[in-house]
Order: sequence, then C-alpha cells, then structure tokens
Amino acid sequence: MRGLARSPALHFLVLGGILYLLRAGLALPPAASRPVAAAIQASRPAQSAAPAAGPRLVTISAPQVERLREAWRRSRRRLPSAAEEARLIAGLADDEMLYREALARGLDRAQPVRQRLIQNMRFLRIDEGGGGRDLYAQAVEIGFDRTDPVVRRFLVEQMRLLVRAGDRPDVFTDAELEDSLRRNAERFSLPAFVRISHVFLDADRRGEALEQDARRLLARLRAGRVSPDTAPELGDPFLPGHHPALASRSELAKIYGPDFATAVMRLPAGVWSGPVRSAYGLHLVWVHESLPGEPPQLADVRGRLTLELAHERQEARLAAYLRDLRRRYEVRVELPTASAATPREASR
Amino acid sequence: MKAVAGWIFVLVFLPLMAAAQGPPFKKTEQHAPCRDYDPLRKPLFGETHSHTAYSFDAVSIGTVDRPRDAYRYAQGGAVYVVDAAGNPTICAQQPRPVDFAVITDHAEFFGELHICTTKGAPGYDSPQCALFRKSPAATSKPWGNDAIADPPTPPAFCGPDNGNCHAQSLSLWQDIQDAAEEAYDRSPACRFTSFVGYEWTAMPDNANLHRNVIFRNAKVPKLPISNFDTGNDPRVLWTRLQKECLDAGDGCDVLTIPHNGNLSKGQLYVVQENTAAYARLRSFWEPLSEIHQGKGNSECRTGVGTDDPECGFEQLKAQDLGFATTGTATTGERFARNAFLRNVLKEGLAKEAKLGANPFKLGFVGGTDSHNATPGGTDEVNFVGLHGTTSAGPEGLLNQVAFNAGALAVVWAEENSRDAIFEAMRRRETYATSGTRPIVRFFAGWDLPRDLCGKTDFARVGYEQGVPMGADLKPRPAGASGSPRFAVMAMKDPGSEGGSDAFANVCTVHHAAAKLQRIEIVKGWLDAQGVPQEKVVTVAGGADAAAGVDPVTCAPVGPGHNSLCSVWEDPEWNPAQPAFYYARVLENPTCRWSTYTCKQIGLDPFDREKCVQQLAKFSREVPPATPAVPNPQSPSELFKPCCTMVPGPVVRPTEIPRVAQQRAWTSPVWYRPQGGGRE
Repeated sequence: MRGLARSPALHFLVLGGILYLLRAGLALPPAASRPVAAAIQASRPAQSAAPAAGPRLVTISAPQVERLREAWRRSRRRLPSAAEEARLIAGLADDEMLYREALARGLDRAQPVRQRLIQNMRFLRIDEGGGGRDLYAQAVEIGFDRTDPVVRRFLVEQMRLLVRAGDRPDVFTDAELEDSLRRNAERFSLPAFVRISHVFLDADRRGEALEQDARRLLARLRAGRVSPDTAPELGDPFLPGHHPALASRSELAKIYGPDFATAVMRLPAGVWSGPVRSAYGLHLVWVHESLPGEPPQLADVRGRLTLELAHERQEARLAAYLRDLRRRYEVRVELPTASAATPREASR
Repeated sequence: MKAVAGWIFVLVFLPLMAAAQGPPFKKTEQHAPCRDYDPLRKPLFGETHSHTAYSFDAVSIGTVDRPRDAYRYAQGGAVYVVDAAGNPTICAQQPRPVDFAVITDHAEFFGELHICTTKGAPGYDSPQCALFRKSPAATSKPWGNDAIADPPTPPAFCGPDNGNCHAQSLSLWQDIQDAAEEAYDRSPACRFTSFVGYEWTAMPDNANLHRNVIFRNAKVPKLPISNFDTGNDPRVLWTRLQKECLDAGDGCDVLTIPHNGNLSKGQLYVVQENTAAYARLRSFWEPLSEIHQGKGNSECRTGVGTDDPECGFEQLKAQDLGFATTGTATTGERFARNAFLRNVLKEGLAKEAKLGANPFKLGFVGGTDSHNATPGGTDEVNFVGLHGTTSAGPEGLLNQVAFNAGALAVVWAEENSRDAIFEAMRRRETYATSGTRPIVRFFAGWDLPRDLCGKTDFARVGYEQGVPMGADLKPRPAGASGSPRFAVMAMKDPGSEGGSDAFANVCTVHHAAAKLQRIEIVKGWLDAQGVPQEKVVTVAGGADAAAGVDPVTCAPVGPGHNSLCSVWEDPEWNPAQPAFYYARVLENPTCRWSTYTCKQIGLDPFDREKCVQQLAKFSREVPPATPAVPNPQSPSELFKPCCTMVPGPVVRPTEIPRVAQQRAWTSPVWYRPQGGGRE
C-alpha cells in the first residue's frame, strides 16, 4: 500500500470504488480476508494501543522523527534545522494529544468514522457476510479505527473544531468590533480610487520613436489645452478603453500593469501628465477625480468583522487549549541515534 | 438662455441619470454599490473549482488547510500546505490575488454529525440514516471502555437535545458558508467575491460526471445535495436544486458546471433524452463547462475529431479517473469524441437541427481542481501541486508531471459582486485561460466596422452593434451586407509585480509575462449534409520561430505582440448552416511549471547530457534504509522526467514539453439560420 499511496490515481480510484460499491451494493468475490486482517492487526503501531501505558504520556519515537526528517528532505533537499525539527515534533505531539482527547469524548463513534471504516472493509474485501453494522464491529475488532489515517485526521480536526467553538456562540459588543476594526484597518478600509482618461502610444507600432512621440504629443496636449474627451484620437487606440471607470490601484494594475497603476495614483488632477509607462507603451494621463482611501465604516463591514473576530477568538481558544494539553501531558522524544547529516544533541 | 440650459441638461444630466439608473443585473442581496462599477464591464479573474480539507479525498492526501485558509490564499496571502509527511511546512503564495473564488468541496463526505439524529433535517429519512437508527441507541461512554459502538451519539458535552446544541454550527456546510461570508467584501471597495458551492461527485465506473454547484448568494439549501442523495443522474440533481433552491422563494439561485470531459469516457456530454425540453433544461442548468483544469485540457485532442496540431496541449494518457500513472499510452482512437468540448459543441448544432434546441451551449471557464486549498494558484513558477502529500515537493510534483498548474475563469461583469458575476456566468460572457491573465474581448455582429481595431471605443461599439462572447448572434437585419463579422482583441498579461495590497510578500516569486503570438478563430458548423465540420483560422499575429525562452533563466525572449486585434468576416459563411465561433489566443512559449521545478533541484531540461550526469550524481545520494523508511526511493527514478522533456510542441500525449504556449479560449457565439428553431 505504501508505494501505491503515492499515486493520485489510488485516491481517485478509492473514492470512485467506494461510491460505486455503495451505490451498486455489489457482492464481492471472496478473497483472502483473514491474512489481511491479521496483517493490519500486526501493523498497529505500539503507541496507538496506549491506554494501558498511561494516557498522559506521548512518546515520539525515533522512527517517527526519521520520517519527519525524510519528508522534509524530500520537499527541500536538505534536512531540517534544529528549530525546524523541534516545530515539526511539537506539531506531531499536538496531533497525538488532540487525537486522544477526541477518543476520550467518544468522537470516534460519529457517523463519518463508521462510514469510513465500513468502506475500508469492503474495499479490502474483508466481508465476513454481515451488513454494515457487523462490518463496523469487525473493523473495530481488528483495530482499524485506530490505524486508519483518515479516521485519525478526522478526529484531530473535529477536536480542533470543537475546542475552537467553545461552549457557547461568540457575541461581540460594538466596542469590541470597533477595536478590531482599528487593528485591521488596512484590510477593511476603502482604497484610493482615481478616474482618468489617457492617450496611448503603442510600443508595438512606434518602436524607436516611442519616447519622442510621447513627449511631442504631451507638449501638444498641454499647449492646445486639448480636452480629455477628444484627446485619445490623437494617439493610438487602446482597446480596453481610454476612459476607464473609477478604479483602485489594483484594478488599474490588472489592465495596465503594476508600474502604471502605482504612478497614476500619485498624479495631480486636471492636467496632462506623463509619459507614464505601461506594459504596452506610454500613456499621457488626465486625472478627472481622485478619491482618497477611507477608513472603514462599521455598518459596511460588520458581518465580515464579526466573523473575523470570532475567528480570532477561536484561534485563541485553541492555542490556550493546546498550551494546557502540553502541561497535562508528558511528551517524550526519542531522537534517532545516527542522524543522516549533522550531529544533534538530544533535546528535551 | 433657455435653449442653453436645455442643452446643458441633455448633454450633462441625461448621461448621469442613465448611469444612475442602476445596474443591468438583478440585485438579490445586500451589497454596497461598488465604487468602480463599469457599465462597459471589466474582466474579473477567478477560481471556480477548488478543494480544502473539507473534501474527503483531500483529507486522505493529507491536506489540512480549510476554506478560511483557501480564501486567504485566494486574496494573496501566504498559507502553508502539507509536505510528503502531512505536515504543513511548504509555503504557498500566489503573485497576484484572484478577484473571486468558489470553494467546491465534495458534498458526499461532509460527514454531517447530526443529520441522522435531527428529525426534519434533509437526509434524516435517507436510507443510510434509517439503517443505523434501527440499532439501539448507545449512551456515550468514555474511550477504552467499550470497543463496539452503536449508532453515533453526539459528543457528550453537547447535551441531550441536539436541536439546541451550539455544536450544530460546527457542521462543515455551515462553516463553508461562514468562511465565504467572511471573505466576501460587501463594502464599496468590492475587493473580493466568494461564492458558496460544492462538488457533486458522480463517478460511475470511473467515468467522470462531476459537477460544481455554485450558488448565487447566501441563500442556500440547508444541506448540499450530494451524489448519495441523487445517484448518478444529473437530472435528479437539477430537480432537487430546482425544488430546494430556485423554487424556495427566498432568492436562492444556482447553476452547475461540469468538468473533465477528457476523463469522462465520453459520458459527461450525452443527450439523455432526445427532446427539446431536455435540451433546454440542460443548457439552462449548465451554461458553462470547464475547458481546462489541473487534470488536463478538454478543448480538443489531436486525432479525436480534429487534426488541429494545437490540440496536443496538456493532454493526458487515458480518459477516465482510474488511470494509473504508469499505464500504457493511449492512442487517439480510444478517446470518445464527446470527451472534448469542440466536438460537443458540434454535436450541439446537430442536436439543435433535430430537436429544435441546443443541449450543449457551452460557455468556457477554467479551474484548478486544487486539493491543496490554493484556489487560483495557476502561476507556473509558484505552483505547489494539486494533491497534498502526493504532490508535495519536487519529488511529489514530478511524480504527477502530466498534470498542469490549473486554469482561470474570467468573467466580463460590471462590478466585483456576486450578482454581477453570477449573471455574467449565466449569459456565458466568460473566457478561460490556461493560467495566465491576458485580457480578451470578442464581439460578433452584422456590419461591425471593419476598422474597429483602429477606434478608441472598441467595447462600446462592440456592445452597441454586436453581441459579446457567449451570446447568440442577433438575427440578420434586412439591409446587412455579407457575412457576420467577429471583432476580437487581446492584450498580453501585463505582469504581476506589485501583487496584493492586503498581504506582504512572504514566499511568492514574480517573473515576466509572455507576449502574444496569435489569435485564432475556431468555427464549427453543419454542412449541407448536416455533418459537423470545423476549421481553425489565424486572424491576427502568427508563429515566429525566433520567440522562445532563455534556457538558463526561462525569461521570455524574441519577437511577439503586446496586443493583437482583428475584425474577421467569415468567407465561407453559409446562411443555411448553423455555426459557432470562438476565439483562441496563444501566447509565446514560456517554461512549463515542470521545467522550473527541475531547475530548482539542479536538473536542466534544456541540456539533456548535463541533466543525465547530474541525475547520476543524485542517485548516489540515496539515504540508507532505516526501519522507519525501509525503501527510500531513488532520486534518479523520481527526477527522470527532467531529462526526458521534449522541446515542444507535444506530439504524443506521453511527452512532457519543457516550454508550452499558454492560451485563452472565449465562450462561443452561435449563429442560427433564420427560421430555425427558437427556444
């Protein structure tokens, strides 16, 4: 399974196979189910059978640390530094503690877990002839609920969800919302907007003469006080248009490119400016109106702000819970004796 | 004086009043008017297909990021995706935000905790729920005391009455809605739009029949209607959506978007009933299809109903979801015709001739199908993979070298809000890109000015005298001269430097965008015998062998166009023959994502000899086997694709090119002969 697990095909296949089986209720040909069940039972990693060993002790074994290092090496072609490795190990320990807390709350009896285990049994053709309920019981018997990585991930994530949510829904006063608004002003404020007209000189068309043509035309526009409504006719056609609607810097960047957008936001209104460079050539720009950025109005952003604040609270709850878990549990880390590259002193 | 005042009124106030009349799209929600509303519409770049850890298959490949993380990434923030071990250590950030995004997690495994125990909840009466309600209820017991559990009971701290349980809000569907609401900018800044959606995952016999379900606003059914509820027939899905959304009377609106025709064994685009009613039903529910996404291209395939050489672009080896990465190459003959949208469009014309309505009026969008919670992450340089642990790091990425970085959906809409974007989708005023951001306009009309490309009001004239992409050509006016005219313009991607306003650059890399090479118009029509035909015509620009990339830096070099424009009149137009026309815009070649990945690890696809030597060196780096990692894989196997890339273009679907021509496809415009069936 290990090598196959790398193949994206397997996961689509599993998904498809699961759905197919569930819909079709096919009778599967009998297969060597006993050896498979025995193999799964034999492969259960020691720490998952932990209850007798003391539920408050989490051991990160040397093989686990090796696997972490190997995965890191595969992504980055180097081994993790001491600090990076410590973070990885801490993450692993957090997951294990959350997993045990999830089991303690009986989350492993939820329907999605049952469904998943039944599907696994069918997919692996371990069907001793019972219905869904018997399959689930068998799955538990051979310890599938403790070894299946998806079940484990589900339980860890459910635990995070529950801890985040707390005991009752979050309600915020206006004062709290205003405070959050102040702290996150950047994200919620209205950016500056500008409305321009522009004359375009096409780099594709004018080649070497581009700069000179632009300077000449700018002089002409200024001297002749040419109106921005008619001026574009004096240059080349800019197909997205010469009189864009009010636009923010990022909207302008989408059409003209980032340098043009940044430059235009700084131009004075009511005069011809330029030449300003875009991805396509040079532009002579007339700013009709300029709206400065504005601080956000609570009424406009109340919904998003409430959810943002709720999210902050939830993260804080989770962080506090994990801190508490780390106090209540003991985490022992067994570092590998021979490491691949740099020597390491045992931490903790 | 009165006359002057009168003229001032007409010239100044009337236009202002017209603009103030309000948007042409219907408003179905509370949203401040967007400051940058544009009646001539603007291009909005978005994602219509992405997954987070709320998708069961994403969980199984280790993805931990959820909708909130995905929205953060969509808006330009940095997130951490999982490495091969499942730890979120790989930084991912795109060089530019997208304007809108839909998160479409698979509905089938939302694992609603309380559905089967909450009477009145949709699904309460489903067979699955009935089955385990039959078993006696168990009291909640602490872990370790009882190995065999009875049907699920809610977590003990939830209390006996689920209806009041605060944990109801923990349902994934509710969280998806909350995350969408949090990300949606309803202020006049209109920076970003989210949509509530999900994926309906029908896969009979591994043939892909998936649809993405996209809701117009925050009014959505209590639970998503999944494949478990409906079986594999999309008609059942549409009927349920009609009942629970369109007919709900609360402003709910929804459409569905199918994808991966290329992996459907031809079963995705099948006329289920040979009736006009079916044709209308289908084209109402599915105005759009994904023409390109991470799991390959579905526009066309050379040898399957076409000899267009450009149809070797991002093709996969096999045509169903069960294909193995090491399977034998599939020859063109084995692919069903209707796996590819160009053929499906042609069949649509034939069906309309028989039924009086066209079931396959497909507009085009693109998506990524990312299972990494990285919506919109199509940039070739900053691509971190689509499939969690299995595509993590250079080894994982190259193990899935046949996949691409995904595509974008672009809509022409008046403003960045749900109503405006949704209506653009409904009317098919959309185009897809294979990941870059060129600006493309396409208009069709009778007597469009031949010199429209030389005018300064291209879009205004296009809308006034023609119809935009995705529409039907208006009936030919009595005095019209000659054939329909098609005005198409494209501006090259203006580049990404400058990124997002809201988020600092943590780990994104900016690089130059390519110039344009050419614009083509693809025509499909029914000939005199009613047999579908197709033709591809270059209408602007052209191939220049001198255009390419610097083999060391991948910087684009050589001649190309900053912009292209053409007004083309179809010389073979026959008023009796129904037809469709769409534009395809090709950029100059640029390095494919896999080329960047290889270079990052010191392997040069441009120098095969050097590459092979370097690969041999890597093979000596195989770490020793340990009990934890008993079979460390040899780098030489994993990185071999780096040394076997072809210069491009691709001739056989097994080949991976080191450069590719990114492109855009506009939704088609349809021509119907006068007196033909009207809807």
